[in-house]
Amino acid sequence: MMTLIRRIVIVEDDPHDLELTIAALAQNRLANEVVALRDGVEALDYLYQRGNHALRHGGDPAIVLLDLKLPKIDGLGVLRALKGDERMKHIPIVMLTSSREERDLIESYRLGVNAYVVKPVDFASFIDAVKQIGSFWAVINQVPPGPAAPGTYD
Amino acid sequence: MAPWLTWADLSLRRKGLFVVAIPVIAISLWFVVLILAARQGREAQQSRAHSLQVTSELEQALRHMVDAQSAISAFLVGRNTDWLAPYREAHAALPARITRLKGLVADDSVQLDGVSRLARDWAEWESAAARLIETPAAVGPAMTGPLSALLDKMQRLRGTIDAMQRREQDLLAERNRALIAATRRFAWFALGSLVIGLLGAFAGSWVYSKGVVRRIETVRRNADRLLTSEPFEPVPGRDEVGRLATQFEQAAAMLRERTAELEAFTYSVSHDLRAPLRHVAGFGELLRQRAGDQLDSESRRYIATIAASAERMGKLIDDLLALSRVGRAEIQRVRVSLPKVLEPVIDEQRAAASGRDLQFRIGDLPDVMGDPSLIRLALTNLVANAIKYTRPRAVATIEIGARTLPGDQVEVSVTDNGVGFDMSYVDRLFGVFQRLHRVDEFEGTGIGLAIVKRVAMRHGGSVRASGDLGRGATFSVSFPSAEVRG
Repeated sequence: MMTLIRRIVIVEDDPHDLELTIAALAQNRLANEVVALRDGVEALDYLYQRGNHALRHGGDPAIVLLDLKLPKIDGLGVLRALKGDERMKHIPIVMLTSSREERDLIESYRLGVNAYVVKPVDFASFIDAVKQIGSFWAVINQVPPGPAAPGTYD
Repeated sequence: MAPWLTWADLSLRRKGLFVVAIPVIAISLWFVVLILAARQGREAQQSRAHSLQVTSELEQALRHMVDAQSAISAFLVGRNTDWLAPYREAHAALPARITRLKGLVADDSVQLDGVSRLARDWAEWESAAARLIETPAAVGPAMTGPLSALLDKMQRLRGTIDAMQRREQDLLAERNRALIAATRRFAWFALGSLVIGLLGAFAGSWVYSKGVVRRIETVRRNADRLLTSEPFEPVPGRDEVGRLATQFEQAAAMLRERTAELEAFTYSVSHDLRAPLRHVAGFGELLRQRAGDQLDSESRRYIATIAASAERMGKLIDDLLALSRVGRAEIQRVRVSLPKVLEPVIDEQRAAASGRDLQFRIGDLPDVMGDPSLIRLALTNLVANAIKYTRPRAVATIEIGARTLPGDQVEVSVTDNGVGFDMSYVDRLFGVFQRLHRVDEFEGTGIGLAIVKRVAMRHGGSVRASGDLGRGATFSVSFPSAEVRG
């Protein structure tokens, strides 16, 4: 049986955090392709297939892991743009952030975030959190059929 | 006073003067009217008494005169000198009476004329009477002429007295009419000033309440808004209330600015300080995974220490943020059932301390007023502490009870049979990062009791601790009672 595997998109400006997240995903042996984006503008360009990403292979990602603090357009700005667009609002977005602040949490849910995860300091817990996010959103969760990235058939 | 100065700009003292002035003036007016009316009444009484005196004097004079006339008539018939006694009496008494009458009617020229006429006619009558008495006895027609002349004179005297009495009565009637009219006028005047006074008092208190009390109420509501971060209602006017409101707004603005700064700071602590810490822990772990097998045990211990320290610092940051959140949280005030809050707390803590023999004894706990989540946080810290410091005991007994303190506060106490503490350190217990035990004896960041204290303070309550080294400790926290007695 052929399974369609969508990409995992990480939007993260901190290279160390990015490396740790990718390492955590790697330890969980997920088959999904991981795309790393470094700021809010790049994230939107990628998802809308424009600018530097105009020629990327098509398809919406399985999940977008979004940091709150990002250069140019912050996480809440990206969230607002995607959840306010009929075409994009079905893409699952998980906030993966350091902030435990209630107002960030409340604002994210108000804008329609699918999940909000505070990055644990402890690496074992971090790996565990990333594993659960990855396995749930990228493997277990079903999304309505839509354009998927070609060439990622198993 | 500047022309644009409005009522709200007047100082409170001036406002008070204005408000009091209207009723005070009206009531003073009313009082003056009352005095004038009393005086007029007294004058009326006096003039009435005066009229009666004049009438009575005239009456007396007339009686003397009539008696004298009768005496003369009788004498002329009988020639008995004894019968002349009333005539002599009148002769003796009348000059004094006439003098008194002159004095009494001195202010009335018409009556004065009457008195003069009376005196003159009386003198004429007397001289005519004297001539008749001295005339030798004559009877019959010879007497008729002089006697009828005497009677005519008497008739004239009687006419004068009648006229004078009528006039006196007319004067009295006129004075009565004037008095009635004046009384009626005074009554209206008094009623009018009373109504003006009352209306003035009502209007004044209304204006005062609108101008002062309502604005003070607004300032008070603004104070509430400060706690809930709502925008302020404007307070017009430049009097004391206006200045108070302005100063309050300035202080509030400063406070808000500071709070915003503090929030930005804690936000940055929460977000930015945690990231490098996560990297230390994360890359430490990656290093262990990659090279752990090739390292000796000492090197592996170093890596483990790095990880443990990073985790501990993460916990410290989390606890500090929790403490800061207790200080910043918007606080609810609802009725809280302590047993309902306590039940899940105990279940949770029991689960975290599985394998321990924990005996909870829970007394009667009354309802309190406050924020359920903060109260739960405080009780969680107290119960967790009790469980932690009873660890060396085979059986930990933890008693939770409550008592009502004066001032409608309920004090909840958690007593354990744990390691206790030396009472000389009691002052340090509720401070931030204060610990009485080494970290390797009892873990923790030293923030738990500081959080309990801050929760109590947010509720207007207090905390207390007592202990005995090696025997156990009691920690108490108080909240406002839900049963407020009158």
